[in-house]
Amino acid sequence: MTRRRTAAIAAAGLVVAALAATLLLAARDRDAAAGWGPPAEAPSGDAGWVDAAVDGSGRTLAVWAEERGGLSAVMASERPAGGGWSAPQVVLAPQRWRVMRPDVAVNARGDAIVVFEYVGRGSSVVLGAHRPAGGRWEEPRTLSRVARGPLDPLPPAVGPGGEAVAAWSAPFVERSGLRAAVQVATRPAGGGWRDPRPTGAFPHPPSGPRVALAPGGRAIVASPGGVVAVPPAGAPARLPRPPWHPRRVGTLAIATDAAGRAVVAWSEARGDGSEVVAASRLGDDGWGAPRLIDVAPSAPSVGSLQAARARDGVVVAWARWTERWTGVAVRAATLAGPELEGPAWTLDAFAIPDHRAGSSRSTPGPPPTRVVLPVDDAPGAAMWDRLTARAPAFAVRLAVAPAGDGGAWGPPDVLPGGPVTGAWPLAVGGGPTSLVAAWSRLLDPAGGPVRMVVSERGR
Amino acid sequence: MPDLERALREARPDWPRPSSGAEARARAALGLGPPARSPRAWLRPRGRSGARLLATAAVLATAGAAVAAALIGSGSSSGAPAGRPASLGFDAPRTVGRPASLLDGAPAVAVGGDGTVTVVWGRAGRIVASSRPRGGRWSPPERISDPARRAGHPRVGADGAGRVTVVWRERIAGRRVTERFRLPSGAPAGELTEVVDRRWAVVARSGRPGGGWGPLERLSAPTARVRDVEQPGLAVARDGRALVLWDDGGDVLARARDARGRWAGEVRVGGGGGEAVDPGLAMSPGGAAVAVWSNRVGGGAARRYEVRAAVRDRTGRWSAPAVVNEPWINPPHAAGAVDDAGDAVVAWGARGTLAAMRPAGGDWTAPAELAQASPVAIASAPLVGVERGGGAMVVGGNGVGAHRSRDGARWDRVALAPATGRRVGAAMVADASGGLVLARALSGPGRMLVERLGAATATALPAAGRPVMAAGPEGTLVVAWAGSGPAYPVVAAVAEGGR
Repeated sequence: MTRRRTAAIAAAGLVVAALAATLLLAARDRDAAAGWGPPAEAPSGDAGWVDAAVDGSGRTLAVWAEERGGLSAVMASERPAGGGWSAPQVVLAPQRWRVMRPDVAVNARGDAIVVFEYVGRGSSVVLGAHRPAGGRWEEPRTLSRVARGPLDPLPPAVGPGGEAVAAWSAPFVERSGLRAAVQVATRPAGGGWRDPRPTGAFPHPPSGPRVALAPGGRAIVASPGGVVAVPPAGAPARLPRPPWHPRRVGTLAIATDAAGRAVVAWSEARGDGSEVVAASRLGDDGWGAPRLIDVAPSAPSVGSLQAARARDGVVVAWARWTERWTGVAVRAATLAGPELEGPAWTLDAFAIPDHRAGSSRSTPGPPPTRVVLPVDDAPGAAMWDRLTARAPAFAVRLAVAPAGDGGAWGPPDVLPGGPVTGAWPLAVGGGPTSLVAAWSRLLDPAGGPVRMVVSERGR
Repeated sequence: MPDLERALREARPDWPRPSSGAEARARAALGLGPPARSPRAWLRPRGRSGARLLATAAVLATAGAAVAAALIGSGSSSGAPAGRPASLGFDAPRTVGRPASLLDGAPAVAVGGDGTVTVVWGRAGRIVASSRPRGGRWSPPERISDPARRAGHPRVGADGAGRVTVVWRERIAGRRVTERFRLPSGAPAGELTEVVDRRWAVVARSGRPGGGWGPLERLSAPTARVRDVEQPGLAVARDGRALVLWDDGGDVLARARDARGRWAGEVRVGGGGGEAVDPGLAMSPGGAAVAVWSNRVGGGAARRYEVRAAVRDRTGRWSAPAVVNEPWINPPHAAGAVDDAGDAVVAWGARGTLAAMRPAGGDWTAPAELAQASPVAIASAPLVGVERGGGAMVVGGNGVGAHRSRDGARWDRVALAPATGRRVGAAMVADASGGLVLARALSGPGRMLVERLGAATATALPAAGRPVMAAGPEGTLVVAWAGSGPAYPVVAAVAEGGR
């Protein structure tokens, strides 16, 4: 009896241990067994540039630039949650100008815009096209004036009612250093594009200005030098001076909360050498006191700062060094209320190949990790990449974490299939029952054609 | 005997060349018959060395030392008339013209047999030339390319009679298209312009500075690939023969011109997979040539550069091209040199500087590593020359120095004149006496050091820029560069022969 009892206890112990290990592993990482479907490649062929966005139902919209017989075109394809890719649709018919950087944005219901740049003999111009949810792409319109040199389009945005904003900055040099002149073109819901309006010139930061749309179509442009509101009609207006030091800001992100108030998150180098992530909300009385979200012992440590409106507030996510230059953490916080309350979570922590290797600089900068968040008002999630191999054949593993209620986060899923060479997170999102991740993949890590890939699982 | 021969050969006093009459009298006094092919053919190393040296010693002993030494020193294995060592007595640098469009390639220089110096460069998409006769002044820059066509990357050569040949890359076709844009309100937004259907070709023009230029001659077939014919190579022999080299897709092509100015058809020198890039051409005084280029093969992380070389003998026959290196991930910037016998040397940059040699009609030696650069540095383009007597010289980038070899297996370090500062550019030429002259542009402070390799001292010029250099048969040496500053002047310093 005793021997049998001992064996039973031992067996039970093994079962418990195995169960605990499984739970621990599950808490640490979820792998292919967690239900991600096989990657589905968009019908983009050998594209030059690709971008993707996922709306609040899990529908993925992919856009890309392709060359045909020396002519450039912009194409699009859609994939509903659980479905297949549509046949490519023409956004811009093949024409002679080289198309650069098509950028797509959607709102939660599926209204979309794509913004791209024509380049010809040292000059460039920005164009944009709009598509209502379930509708057809309109003819692209010229949004900017032709400029000498490059125009640097900012990520565009589509508001909940279908209003849209495109913005771009043109760098220029003056005695005080490198600056950027930012212009904005808006499109009211149900209306047509307006001529561009200047919002001023700012010190050109490493990460560039950012733009967000408040309900009703008011665009807000944030840069280290200041914040400007662009109403649907009329002249832009400078907002009160923000609570950050313009020359110490590393990266910026902006979103509007449910009340239409601008919430800006930024990283800032401190005098003691540390770097902080902070956020502030613009109320009727001006900017609220900065909420300190994260502190890194040395600058630069923070990269890929993102912000998006969520059901519970404004989600802010970022990547930062935990161990220079080999340890990275991806963190997020859901900031709610005028005081922007809410804890910061560590979504992931991982090691990467030494970021200094091959660099000519002694301080390489923030982590190379890219973090993406869903569009405003879509169910919460975050996606990022874990670098596993460096150039020339850089490879990553992609990870996705769903957001839970009350600002909590689930454990990250590492997408199946092993390291992907030349991959780059593009978009994450989904509906109440699905989670969708989209990424680009270089066919040749040293450059050349790009493919767009999407994978999906149930929530 | 060989040691005495070498010693006598290497005695190169800067004495005047004997007249043909004096030479004939010396030969008669020595009981030597008239030369078979050239007045100095008897000085070639093959055959009759013992009798030749005895004759030389006899002449020296009979106080005909000047004639004998000049006869010996001016002889070469080439059979081509030898010239004077390059002078290092420079005039002050002069601005020849401005501005130089460095996007259109570096300036190029040549010295004719009469001591006339010619500089060519790209200016606002056109090729201009300026010349300076011996003892004279620089002419105003003259545009020599078609004003209606964009041109760049000129090369220049001059023959013994002072006739100059210039080649360059020219856009021979293109159509300008313009599209006007309007903002959503209808207000003008500006226009974009582009040139489409472009074609490029290698174009040549010859003339005598101050005496007019001949017609423009298109040497290559038009190409639509923007990276083809990017930097054509040119070499001009003293008798007016010329050779032009360019890349076309994965191939390297050449055309030869005879002494009467007639261009032969193009020939395929070699090629391989991928894209041929960075073609270089060098010619010996007697008309032997070596072509060096790289084929860029593979893609992405598998991209590699294969250094290829082909040697052309004095009859105009090209050898089969050969890959001389282990394919390398970075551009090797290979360069080559050849002597009249057809012995060739090629050097290139990889992790360090490597070189290989090929005896006439033979095979290339295995690459020899002259020096290693630091583990993360990429070696700069080496300079290559062949010395009188058959030795090869390779000068590498910063930290590599100069090395000499006779067989390609053993390379011995050669001391250069001491210099401080960082090297920002260098050029090397063989002068008419078969010696090598090296110019190094140094920063901190900016200056140009010019030295004859093997000599312990250098001449310093008070300015620096990436140099180009040429030497004439009568000893004139010119160094030119594009200066810095808002107007990018073309600057040249001339050391006239005989100083």
